[in-house]
Amino acid sequence: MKGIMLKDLYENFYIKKNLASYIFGILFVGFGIIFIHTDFAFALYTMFLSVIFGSALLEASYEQDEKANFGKLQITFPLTKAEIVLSKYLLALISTGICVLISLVYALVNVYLWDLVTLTEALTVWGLSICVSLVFTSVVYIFYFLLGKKVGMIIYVVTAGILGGLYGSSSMLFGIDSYTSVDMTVLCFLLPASAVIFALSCLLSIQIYKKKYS
Amino acid sequence: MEYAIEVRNLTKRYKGFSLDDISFALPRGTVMGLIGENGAGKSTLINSILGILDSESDLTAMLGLDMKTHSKKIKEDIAVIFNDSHYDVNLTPKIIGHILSKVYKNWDAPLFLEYLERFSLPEKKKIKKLSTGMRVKLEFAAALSHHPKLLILDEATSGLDPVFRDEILDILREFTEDEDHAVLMSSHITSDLDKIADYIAYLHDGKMQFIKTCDEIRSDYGIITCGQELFDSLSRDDIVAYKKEPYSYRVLVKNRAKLRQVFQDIPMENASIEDIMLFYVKGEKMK
Repeated sequence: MKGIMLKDLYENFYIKKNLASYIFGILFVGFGIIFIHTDFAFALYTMFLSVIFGSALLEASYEQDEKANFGKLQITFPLTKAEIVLSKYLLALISTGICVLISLVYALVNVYLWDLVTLTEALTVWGLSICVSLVFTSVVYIFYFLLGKKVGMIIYVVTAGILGGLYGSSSMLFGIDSYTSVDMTVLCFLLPASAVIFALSCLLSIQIYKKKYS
Repeated sequence: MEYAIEVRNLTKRYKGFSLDDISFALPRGTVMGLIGENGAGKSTLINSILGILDSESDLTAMLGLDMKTHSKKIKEDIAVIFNDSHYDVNLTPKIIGHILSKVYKNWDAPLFLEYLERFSLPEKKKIKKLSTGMRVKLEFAAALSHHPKLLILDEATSGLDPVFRDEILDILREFTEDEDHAVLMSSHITSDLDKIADYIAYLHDGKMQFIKTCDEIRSDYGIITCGQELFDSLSRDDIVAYKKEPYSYRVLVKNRAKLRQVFQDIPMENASIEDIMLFYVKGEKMK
């Protein structure tokens, strides 16, 4: 599985156009983080960081694999079909983990440096961002495996748009408190539930992949 | 005898096409050429053996192990080159080596570098900047650097010029110098198989027509050009297929030696693998 994960990393960060997309994304979010200090932006960027970047790895590698029809060659490697899919999910988990850590740092900066939210509020939003990014990745990955890069990309953008729209409208209607004051009990339920959804998504993608190559 | 590949009653069904009850065995230390027209089922057979496609079979074994239960172990010891599935062209040979070092337990990095040097492949040049021939050589370098015992090639040399193909044949000859190694290669370029194959397996319309050694093909098959009278006198059992031409028949016959005893004076050409394939596909069969 290490080989497949390494290949995906090379395809994401060695190929210039893919690297450029990441740099552009980081600059875009980075400027927002540095210059916009509101509670609305805090919640938006905390989630945006882990949701968008955490699940972006499959997009580039899937595109490259489709171009070269690498999937067929990959099956001749000493790996099962399940392990091939699992390696993609593991990499998503690792990248989401890194993004979640970065967003934790950002959340703490908002607490201690900019004095924008309390620690409890920051951790609540941060916890929600973990749930949303796991569910987002779960949904998007299924479509990548089911319908390929083109449709997967559309689903990725549409789902991100829906999430953004929901966040924008809900914070306008109910205020940002609806996120910062989520009950810890609810969060304690949401976290394992999103982990279960992630695991189910992986199992479903394995079945889709097996069916694709059958 | 332990075979490099052993397949018993393999069947793969699609709508409108099925690979039908295929059985064959490839002994170690030999090269088998898999021939057949487009759509005959060569790639389907290779993909089914490799588990890329699901199929039904009584046995699909490689290197003495059953694919159903030991596929990971088997895949450590085989290498496959396709004509339609490759590495990302934006990567470099060096990166491919790095990736494969994490894929195969017995990856031999110095051997890979040796192959790159031997094939004059620049380590740090992107694949997209290499010629078609160089790309195929890179795939061979990548395929051979984990010390595989079985090499499976699916039209891997198509699109290459004769000089490159000849170099690839040299690599294959070298590979099969080891008695433990074997090669299964599907190819449209039957002249290459004439040069290197020990066995020819002929697939037509999803069915295995024959598996013969190249020596058997040379000694068994012949082509007779004759008139109606001689054509009528030939035994129907000896005629594989024929083509009616304006004033004569061209007939692909088997049992060449037996026919030679009966018809001592008639000219009989040697039949190449390509001739045999063309007669099977385009020739008329005796009713």
